[in-house]
Amino acid sequence: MKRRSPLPSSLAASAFVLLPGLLQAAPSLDVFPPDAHMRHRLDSQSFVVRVIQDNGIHMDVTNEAKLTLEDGTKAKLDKNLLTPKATGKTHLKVEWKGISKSIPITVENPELEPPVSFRLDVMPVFMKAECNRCHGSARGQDGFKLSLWGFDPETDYFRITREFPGRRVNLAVPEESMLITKADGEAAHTGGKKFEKGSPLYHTMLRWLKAGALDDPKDVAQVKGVELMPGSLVLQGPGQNFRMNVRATFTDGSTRDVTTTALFLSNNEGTAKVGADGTLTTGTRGEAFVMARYGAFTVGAQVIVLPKDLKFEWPKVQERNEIDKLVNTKLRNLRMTPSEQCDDLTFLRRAFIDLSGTLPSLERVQAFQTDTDPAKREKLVDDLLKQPGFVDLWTLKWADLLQIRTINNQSSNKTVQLYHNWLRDQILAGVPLNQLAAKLLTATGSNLENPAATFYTLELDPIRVTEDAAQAMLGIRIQCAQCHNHPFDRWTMSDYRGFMAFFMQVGRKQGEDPREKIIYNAAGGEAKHPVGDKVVPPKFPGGEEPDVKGKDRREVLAQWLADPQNPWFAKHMANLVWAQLMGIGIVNPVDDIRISNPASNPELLSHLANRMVEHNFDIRKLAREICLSATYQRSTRSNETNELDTKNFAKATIRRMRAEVLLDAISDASGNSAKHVGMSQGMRAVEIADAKKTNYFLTTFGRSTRDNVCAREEVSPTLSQALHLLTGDTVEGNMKAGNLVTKLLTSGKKPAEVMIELYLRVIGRTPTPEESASLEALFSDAEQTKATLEDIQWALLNSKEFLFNH
Amino acid sequence: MRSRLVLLGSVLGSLPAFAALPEKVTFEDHVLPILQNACNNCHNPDKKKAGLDLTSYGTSIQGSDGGKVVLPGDAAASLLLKCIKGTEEPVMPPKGDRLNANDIAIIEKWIALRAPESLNSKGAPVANNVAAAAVSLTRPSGPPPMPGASLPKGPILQADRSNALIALAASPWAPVMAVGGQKQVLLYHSDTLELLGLLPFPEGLPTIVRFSRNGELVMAGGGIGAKSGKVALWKIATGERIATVGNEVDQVLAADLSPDQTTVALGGPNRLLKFYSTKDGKLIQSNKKHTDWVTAVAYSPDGQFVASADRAGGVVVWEAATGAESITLPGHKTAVNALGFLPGLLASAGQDGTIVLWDVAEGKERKKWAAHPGGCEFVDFTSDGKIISCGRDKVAKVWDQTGKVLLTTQPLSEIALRAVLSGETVMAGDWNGKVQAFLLADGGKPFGDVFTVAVAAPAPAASKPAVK
Repeated sequence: MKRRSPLPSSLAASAFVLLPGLLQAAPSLDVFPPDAHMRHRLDSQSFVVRVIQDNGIHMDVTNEAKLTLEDGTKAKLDKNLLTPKATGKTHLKVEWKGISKSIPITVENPELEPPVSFRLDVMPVFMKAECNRCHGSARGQDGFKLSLWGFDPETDYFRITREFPGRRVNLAVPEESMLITKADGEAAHTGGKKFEKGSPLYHTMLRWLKAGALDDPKDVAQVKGVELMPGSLVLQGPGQNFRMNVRATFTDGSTRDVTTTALFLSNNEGTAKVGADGTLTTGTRGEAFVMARYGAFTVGAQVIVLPKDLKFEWPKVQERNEIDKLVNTKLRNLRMTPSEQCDDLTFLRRAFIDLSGTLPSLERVQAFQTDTDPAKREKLVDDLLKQPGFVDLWTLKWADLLQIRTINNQSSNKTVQLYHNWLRDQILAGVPLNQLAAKLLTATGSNLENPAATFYTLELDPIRVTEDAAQAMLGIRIQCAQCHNHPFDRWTMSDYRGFMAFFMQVGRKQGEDPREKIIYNAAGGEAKHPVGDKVVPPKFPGGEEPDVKGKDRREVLAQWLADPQNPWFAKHMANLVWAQLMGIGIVNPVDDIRISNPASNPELLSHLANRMVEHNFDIRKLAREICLSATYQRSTRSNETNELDTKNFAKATIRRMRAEVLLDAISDASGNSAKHVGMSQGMRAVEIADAKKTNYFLTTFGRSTRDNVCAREEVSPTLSQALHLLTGDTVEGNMKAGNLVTKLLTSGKKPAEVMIELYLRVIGRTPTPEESASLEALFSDAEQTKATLEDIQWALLNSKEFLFNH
Repeated sequence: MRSRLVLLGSVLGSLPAFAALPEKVTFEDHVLPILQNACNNCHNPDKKKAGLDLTSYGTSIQGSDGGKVVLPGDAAASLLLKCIKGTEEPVMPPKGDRLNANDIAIIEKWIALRAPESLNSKGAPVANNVAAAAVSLTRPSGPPPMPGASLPKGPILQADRSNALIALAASPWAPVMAVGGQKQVLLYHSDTLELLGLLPFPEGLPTIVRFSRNGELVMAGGGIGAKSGKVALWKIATGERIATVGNEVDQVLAADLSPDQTTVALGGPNRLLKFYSTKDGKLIQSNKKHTDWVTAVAYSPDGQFVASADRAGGVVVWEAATGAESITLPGHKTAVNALGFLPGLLASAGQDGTIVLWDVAEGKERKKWAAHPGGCEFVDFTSDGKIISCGRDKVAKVWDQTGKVLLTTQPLSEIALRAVLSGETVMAGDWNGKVQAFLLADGGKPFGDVFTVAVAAPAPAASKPAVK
């Protein structure tokens, strides 16, 4: 089989290891970090030794392993902690039960005592001791304010040393500074004791005060990246320990062991608790995401915890493509057996709803049932991808993303319709998604002539435009970073303004027609940083500052976004396609890609993103690949091992049809051609352009209001939905208008035949023998045949089997 | 009686064996220090969480909104003990570490011993002895009061580095100035810069120093941050400490002595303006009006009024005799850092960089001007009615009452925090703790060496006499 991954290196580098245990491979040994570089007297490096046992469980064997230095004159080794002795290079040899690893060690300037840096040494103390959580509130705490999570070191420095001279620091008797006495419990502190007298945090603070509480030189190195090691773990619970290691990289190229100063968090303490020193303790079975925060960075590691001595055997399961392999790798780690493949009719109905937003017709059901071609599922998928329903469904999806709606005095019916039509044309023509996004971002001119320009007329405030673009096109929510560094993600206030700067020069003019708005490049306007009021030049999120001189900034942004190398766009788009087909995103919710909301299967997401790029951002091709995977074609029935799975695709997800699709399905299944307000007869609910068009059914069933970027379609059930189906005019009205039972009876069909047809039309299957037997008994009363059949039709339209895609 | 003794015995018997437990445990000597550290940040007269104030014996015994928390003789039933032990909600302290076993044992023993207040079960005797002074706006007759030869000159605490200079005052009549050091007040001759003597202030860091109106007394206020605050008075001639007032739970940030020397008004982070009698150290009155830390307190030289200001920009004038509010002076939007008072005329220094002169009788702003870009840290009237100020622009300035600048000193090494005029000498101190003297008459020409007080060199100018 041909290898499909275009970027095998990225997969190989990803920390998620294939479980060798189940393949009965030999244990393997890793040392974290894989090398060490110490640059001054106070530098040190701690190590963690991991063994992956032959049963796939990871173990921390740091204490059991034998650690020896090749050249003991270069460094000193105390248990797992290395400190510098003399300039030079050597190796650390790590050996455990006959397996060994050699770690390169470099030592430089062991006599050099580095100055204490406010930003690099002291700010992490505020983070670790969580000072800037309470004092980081908008008004500070007890008269003392710090920036939330330390986003503003300059002001923090000012507040500590000079806002209230003489009080917070005492440079003559540094030990008596309130900065220290409040934290070490010496003085009364509402927040209690934050660190021990004599602890490393205490000493860092004291050393800085003793040196005169100096500010950093302007060129002080900045944190460039943070690494949490190991990147993923499979542990046994409860009560197994594993220590994590954190290393920071700086702009001057240096690295530093920040395990003791990083702040650790776990999103699931019941499964994996993490102590202040970075030691994990396992709990009950489950998955946890453990995070380390240092500077403006938060990084995470996936931790799977399995019960001790779990009996599990991986069965032989079908793997049709790379998707299946990657999903199954994770399932094997979780000790979950995937559900079996679904039957033909379930697949048919699922594929119809997911790909074209319609139910299979009677004829299609019958034909598919009898088709003996082994490739019939593939043929079906190919056919559905060509249907207009596919175009409608994806137009609807993008209309939600772009919040297409009428707004009084701002967005007219006409412009909304033009915009919607334009969007549909793009999807129909198969315009690659990256080009579609680029067209929107760079839209210029009259929105009547170039409907894409409406993109810039629905939101006028650059703040909203910035946030909406980030969320809709990149799947990232940077709202938090408007006022402070994102507390659970990598985004800083500078990132926010840097991204916003691309939208600061969008010019808007009123056209002659009141509905006409003209978008142009105003070539002026800057984003200013709220701290210090400095102009922030345009900067790609997580990327560089491009040269925008003399250019339309939006063109530069669009080019970056459309680039196949863009780190966000392909992933986000692939995740959108996946979520549409699988019912749940790999990152969920799909528009909240965030370090602290990790992908349930990062390797799978990377693979899909790579495929998205290889397919030149063609939704159809990626959708085809997903639909043909064994993963997509699983049954919704769970087995003993995967009962509790909600996000690892061990079984198919049961989900209600979205409002528009459901409304169309009710009409279709009733044989009715509906008329929606403001639309011509026979037009479908999925084709409604304006989310503000009154439609009781759609509102009740949770269509997206498109009022803001966070609004999305809602498929959770409510009481009014149930009551509306039972007693409202939608089911009754469509049945009456479709008049299906009468038509079928008059065409000469027998009641039992009519019943089967109703079953096939509404829920895509024939009745079971038990159902047939009990229902046919009702036809004995010939007078009531029509009423009985209509009752059956009504009951079917109200059944969960109809309402849900399964 | 017997049963009670048995009970007492069993309580004591159940205590863990701590060798360190004193035989007699009292509130003042043993319990209060524990409460100050662990409880008084919330259970103080200002915040009074749950209505409980654990800063004094009386209020501790009085209890909370829910009733008594200390039942003398019955430790097991006392809510205070149950909460700190964690056997009953709310577990105290709510955040941070719980009390250590030894501290709990001390409190337990104290309650078991029927909660004595102090060794003689009376508040600590106050040895204050301050004679009332006649209030006069003119120079007293006789030689100006100077520190006598008996004052100690050796430093009480010598440090490698100086802290920010935040306490500086000049005698209104004698060539002497007082500077706050570490646990000490240093007296310098303002013409020769010679160190004349030291006044020990073991209570902590002096945050404010003042001379009495007649120049005979030195006052220092301060303490230990988030722990304790006191104000002390000394006779300058003998160095004798004649009064100590205040029982604050945090540093005193601002204080002044009334011109008749009967009262000390003080304020700090608890936002209260408190009046203490210098005679017996008793709290006369406590005024709750300020909405943020009290940062400045000043008596008018005629003794009629006292003004106070806060970190939120509030300025309030009170009647000195009754402590009743006379008028509030709205105008500052940001912190007020200092106040100066002449009869009828108040000067305030704003963090917004302005100096405002207020007509106290009318309650109106008389004059306002931008004085120090970045923030005006200090303002006061000189004894001849000029205005002296300094600020974040690193310079000190002398003004007339119309806001005309008479002198701008050379920049100091850092933010200029305090400045005084003594005779013809302008003295200014900065964030680095450096003090520099300038000659007013000579266009602000610096003289003498720059010196730092925390280093407490016995006589900074001894080797180099002033150029005057």
